[in-house]
Amino acid sequence: MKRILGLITALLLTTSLICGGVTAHAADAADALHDNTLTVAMECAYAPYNWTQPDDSNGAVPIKDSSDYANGYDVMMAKKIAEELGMDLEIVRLDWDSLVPAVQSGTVDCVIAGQSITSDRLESVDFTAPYFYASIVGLTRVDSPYAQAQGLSDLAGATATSQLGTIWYDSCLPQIADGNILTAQESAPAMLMALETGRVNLIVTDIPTAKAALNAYNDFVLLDFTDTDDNFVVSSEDVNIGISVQKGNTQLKDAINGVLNTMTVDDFNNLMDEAIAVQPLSSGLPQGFLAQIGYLLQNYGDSYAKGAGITVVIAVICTAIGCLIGLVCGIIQTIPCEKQDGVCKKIGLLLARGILRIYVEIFRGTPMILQAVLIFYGAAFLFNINLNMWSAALIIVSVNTGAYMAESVRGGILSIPVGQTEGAKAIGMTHVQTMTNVILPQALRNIMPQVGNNLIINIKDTSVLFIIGVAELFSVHKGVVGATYAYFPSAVIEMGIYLAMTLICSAILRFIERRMDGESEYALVKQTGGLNAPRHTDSKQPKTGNLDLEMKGEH
Amino acid sequence: MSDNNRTIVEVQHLSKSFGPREILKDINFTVKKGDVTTIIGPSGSGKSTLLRCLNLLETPTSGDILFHGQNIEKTMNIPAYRSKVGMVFQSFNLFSNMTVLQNCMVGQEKVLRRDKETARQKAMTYLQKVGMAEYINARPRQLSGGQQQRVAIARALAMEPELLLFDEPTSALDPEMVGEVLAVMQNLAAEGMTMIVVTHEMAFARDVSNHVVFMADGYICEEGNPADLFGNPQNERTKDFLSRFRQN
Repeated sequence: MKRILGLITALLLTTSLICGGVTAHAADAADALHDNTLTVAMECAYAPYNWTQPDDSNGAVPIKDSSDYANGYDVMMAKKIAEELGMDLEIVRLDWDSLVPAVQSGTVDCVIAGQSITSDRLESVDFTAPYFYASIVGLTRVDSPYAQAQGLSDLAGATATSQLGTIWYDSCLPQIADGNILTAQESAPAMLMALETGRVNLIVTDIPTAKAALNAYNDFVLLDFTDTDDNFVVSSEDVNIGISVQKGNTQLKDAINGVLNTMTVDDFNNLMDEAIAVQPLSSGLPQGFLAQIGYLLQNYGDSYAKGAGITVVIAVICTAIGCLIGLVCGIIQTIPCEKQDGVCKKIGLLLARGILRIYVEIFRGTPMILQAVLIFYGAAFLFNINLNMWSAALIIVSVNTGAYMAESVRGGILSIPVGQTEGAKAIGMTHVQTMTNVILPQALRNIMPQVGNNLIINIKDTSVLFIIGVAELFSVHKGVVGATYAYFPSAVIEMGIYLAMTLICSAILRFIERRMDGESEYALVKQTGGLNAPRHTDSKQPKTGNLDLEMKGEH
Repeated sequence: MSDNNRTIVEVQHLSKSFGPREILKDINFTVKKGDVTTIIGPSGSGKSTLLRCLNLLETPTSGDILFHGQNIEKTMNIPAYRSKVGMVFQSFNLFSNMTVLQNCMVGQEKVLRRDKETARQKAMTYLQKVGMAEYINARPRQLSGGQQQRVAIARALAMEPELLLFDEPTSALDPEMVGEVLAVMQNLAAEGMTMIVVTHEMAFARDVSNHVVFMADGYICEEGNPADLFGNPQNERTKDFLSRFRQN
């Protein structure tokens, strides 16, 4: 009982800690100018615009809630803007798809992330004047039939792809005659990988990305048709790269425009060349698979280790909290409701079970990645609650685990033979005593494999938390790949780390299970009193072995 | 000994239905202190249901059960009542998550609020009585059926109940283990323990108990002292049942 109370106290403490991290303040982006910090969101995985690096070399800026640093064209631009405005700069790492909701909800002040100023985006956010003009180019391999292409018409019939959610994919690729357009890739590195591995023989992107890619892949060829008649037709808006701010935040927009107005197109291009020159892959990603793995481990080993640490901590804490949630839910679901119970108890139980049912079905039935987006940005957007990233991560994963564990615990309790309950009741135990002393210890032992399953699933599934910017192991991969384009070597390293973590967790859980089972042998305890054997009273001892014969003989 | 004539349990007009099926019909009987009552009868006659009603593992549909004159359903705290009425099950129902010793201590500590040392001493006393004191560190799954049942009896005894209910305690046992359990029960009877035993062990009913109840179809057909009931049964159902027992 004391142990259970301890667990409940721990649960309450954790809950209050999480709630303490929730600061309910108006998400008014104009605050930015008052609190004098410019919070800028970017992917930190989109070289040469922005990337992650392990140190502060070349003027890199620390990433919020992380030990990594951000650098690139966007960071250089952000530094310049902050400097001109006399503000402190804070870089927040967010997934590409989260950038718009982040600025919409006021979680960040602006996004400087190589976003094209499209009419679609303009419906959700406001853009400053362009801070770069990114002409559209193609990339192919030296050995591809399109290596000598002189114009768009030479690309007819090409198998091509590009990055998801970009104008490159949405409006440029359809201009290729008879093009075989494959599914869009989730990131620029993934798109480059598709070209490198020969899945496509053409990708369309902008000039900075292409120039950076040429540094990493020496068998790539740049197809630049700019200033010819046979080029991709794009509106000037599509190639204008802008900075987005929350709709209606003219104060910040005007301030940034004031800085941009002092710069020329040549200034932009020079700054971009500077960025490409200091991009990590420019300083020599070695050739050869093993050499690249070695390079990544040497340069990003700390990042991988920290990412793995964060993943394990989130997975373990959330599995523990989730199990407690599941335990409470499972116990409530299995409280017996008997005929003679009062109406209040019956209605209360029915209500509680209904609510739990809904909770379980919703969180089990929807993807965690969407729950993360909804809880993190929805809270800010709808209720002006700026949830701390870590709190959001802990809540989402715990609540998810709880939904799965609720059913496991219920099943675990139902799997205990009814005789155990009757045995406990027959010596006068109450329902609570029966549960805590007899049923739950056995049920918990039975659901240990499920706890292990959930821990392992959590280690892997925390990878979706990159969507809200948690620097767990998978987001490290995205960051490393975004800076170096070393897609395969990093994926292999990540696989190795994930596998090592899950194997270790499995082993630990097996060990705990064996401990719970107790000794497989038991020692006889010799008694000195001499009362061991039951004393038989001769006259009345029933001779059960030949009972039938005996009975027959008498009649 | 006037104390021996004190009524412990009185069952009045007890009936029990599961849905439309009426399992027990107008059951009346009385158990006095020191009585060893056996309930015999064909399978499905309601013997076990009656026993389970006595400690409210089944809720009676109608009728009253009086414990020292008090109606157990209306005036008594049910867990407190159960702690005074031990029960031994056909399938033992030892707690699988505990050792033999823990099985015999947990009820004393949690229900009777005895301190650990007292509980331990009592548990050891009763484990010695059933000859299982050597096995205190074993877990139920490591024991034979007969050993488990003896521990189950010790667990019930450790609560020091006024009445002990046995629900076919030897039916799940191999023939060679039946004897060791019956011997323990016989000892208890000899020491004056008040017991109600549902059993198919006719020799035990005849030789050990001082009162035999014969049930069929949810009724008590006949009851009396073992010599009369076995030697000169009056009811046709009783005669039929006992004769079949002799022939097979």
